[in-house]
Amino acid sequence: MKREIPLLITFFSCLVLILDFVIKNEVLARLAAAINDYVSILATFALVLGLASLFGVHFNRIYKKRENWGFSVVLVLGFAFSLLAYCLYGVEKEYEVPIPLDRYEVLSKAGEAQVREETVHYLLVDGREIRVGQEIFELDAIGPEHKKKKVFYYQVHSNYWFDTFIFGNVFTPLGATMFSLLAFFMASAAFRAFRAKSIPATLLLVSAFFVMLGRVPIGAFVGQWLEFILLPIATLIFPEAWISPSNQWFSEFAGFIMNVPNTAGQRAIMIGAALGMVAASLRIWIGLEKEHLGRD
Amino acid sequence: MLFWPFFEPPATETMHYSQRPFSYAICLWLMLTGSLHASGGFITIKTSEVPTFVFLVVLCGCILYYISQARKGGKLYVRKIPALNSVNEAVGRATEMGRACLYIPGIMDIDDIQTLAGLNILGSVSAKTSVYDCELKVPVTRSMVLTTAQDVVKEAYLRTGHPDTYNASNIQYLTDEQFAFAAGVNGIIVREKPAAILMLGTFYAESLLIAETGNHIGAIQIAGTAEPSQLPFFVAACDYVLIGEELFAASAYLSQDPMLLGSLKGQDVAKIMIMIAIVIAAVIELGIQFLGLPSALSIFQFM
Repeated sequence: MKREIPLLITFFSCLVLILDFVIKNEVLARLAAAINDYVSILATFALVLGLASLFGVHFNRIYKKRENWGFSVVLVLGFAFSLLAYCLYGVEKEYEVPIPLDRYEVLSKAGEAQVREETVHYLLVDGREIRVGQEIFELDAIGPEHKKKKVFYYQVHSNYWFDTFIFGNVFTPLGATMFSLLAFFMASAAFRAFRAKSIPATLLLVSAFFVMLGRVPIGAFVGQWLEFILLPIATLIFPEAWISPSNQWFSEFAGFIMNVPNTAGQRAIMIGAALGMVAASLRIWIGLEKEHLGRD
Repeated sequence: MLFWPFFEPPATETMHYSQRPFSYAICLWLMLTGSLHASGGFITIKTSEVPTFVFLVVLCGCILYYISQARKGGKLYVRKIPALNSVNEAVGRATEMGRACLYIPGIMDIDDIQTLAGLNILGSVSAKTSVYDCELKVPVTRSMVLTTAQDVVKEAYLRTGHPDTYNASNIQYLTDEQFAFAAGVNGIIVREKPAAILMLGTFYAESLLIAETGNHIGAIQIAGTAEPSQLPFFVAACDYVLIGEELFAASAYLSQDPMLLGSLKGQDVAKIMIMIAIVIAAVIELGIQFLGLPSALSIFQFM
């Protein structure tokens, strides 16, 4: 039953979600919402396993003093510091406090705090106000009475120095550094890829030339200077370039390449991928594909 | 047996494949009647979703039909996919060089279909690495993917008769954060210099970071994703690329299971139907633009 039970769970969960997609029914909607919640709960529990794996690897590296074991020490210390700090002080809170209308007017005029107003939906059940979402509010079959009212909020931030230090001064700059490496990697990949070795590669090179320059202001100058060479080439593909002003035809041609052939190619890939996804999902749903569960 | 469509019959008894749709219908009927009873008979069809649902039913019908045809026998032709044919070459190269294979099943969680496709291929790749006695490293970015990947690799090693060479610490969780994961993987690539890198799953901005680093160390790289925005980066930096639907066809292609190949054929038939519909719609639209015909919307309203 090691594989049969997961297959049954998969089948019935998918069936509920598909029926919820096409049938408007309270029971199905609640079941579908519950299934989505279960996924989040399981992922949270699985996080413990991930951490156990992570620390197993790094503690082993520290204990046996393997190469670069110092970085493992940094990881463990960083984790311990963050865990201790947030356990003691709590996670940065951005919670909203309901305030009366006169207080909202005072605060919004003074501009001292972030305030906002929202229309909130309530169901009155046995004299109690139960806040509900709008979609529940609109179902006529639910609740004896319903009402909505405006509520005004004052947003509170709790500012911890270590939170600013960890996320603002360490984590965000590190992420930005990694992201900025993309520019250099793109340049090196482009240097390798844009070679006129074959007809498709030459077409790629020419279109990349037009698109890259057409996206920057200097492209307008290049279009004007080299109009007598480049404009006839562009007009063969995009006739409207011929009647465009001198300083605009280059960027318009670049826009044409991005909007027409590039979009067509991307959509074709997306359609194929979507069909592949449906087929793969169907195979998993009916239990044809069981590799992820392990074979016997 | 009719009520347990996934029950695998014992060797002395075979469940006729024609019974499966009937058992699915039984389950569907039970679900519908159960929910009808529970909700007091109140069921409304979401009319806005009906066209999508009808298309899904047609598509799934095509796939199921060709699966049943494949089950009856007959060889199905599938065109060669160079990226998948090169998996053997990549693993063999890593074995000869005495270096590891690095397999990255994407950066999304187990609920993403591309991650599942990547894990399906991981089973085949890990079977090859166990036979060739090549080290396989699998860094993951989600805990649930970690446990699933460990199971898949372990099962593959057990299946091929090499349970002693399985090393659970080779499949490790790095981090949930996108660029931290990219940094971690780049560190593994630069330090351990794997000879083969396979990136099969969902990738976003970190795709080029990882692919370029692998290109820098001279590894043979096989990538596959259904994200159209990342495919150009993989094409520029990797040796072989699985584009879109080829990623989902990989499990059928590598296993050569007739029923899985039948699903590919059903998928292709649905694609042909979509192409015909696009051509018809384009002709109608051209007629509207150039011949002054009434708009397509008014035609449908008239009908």
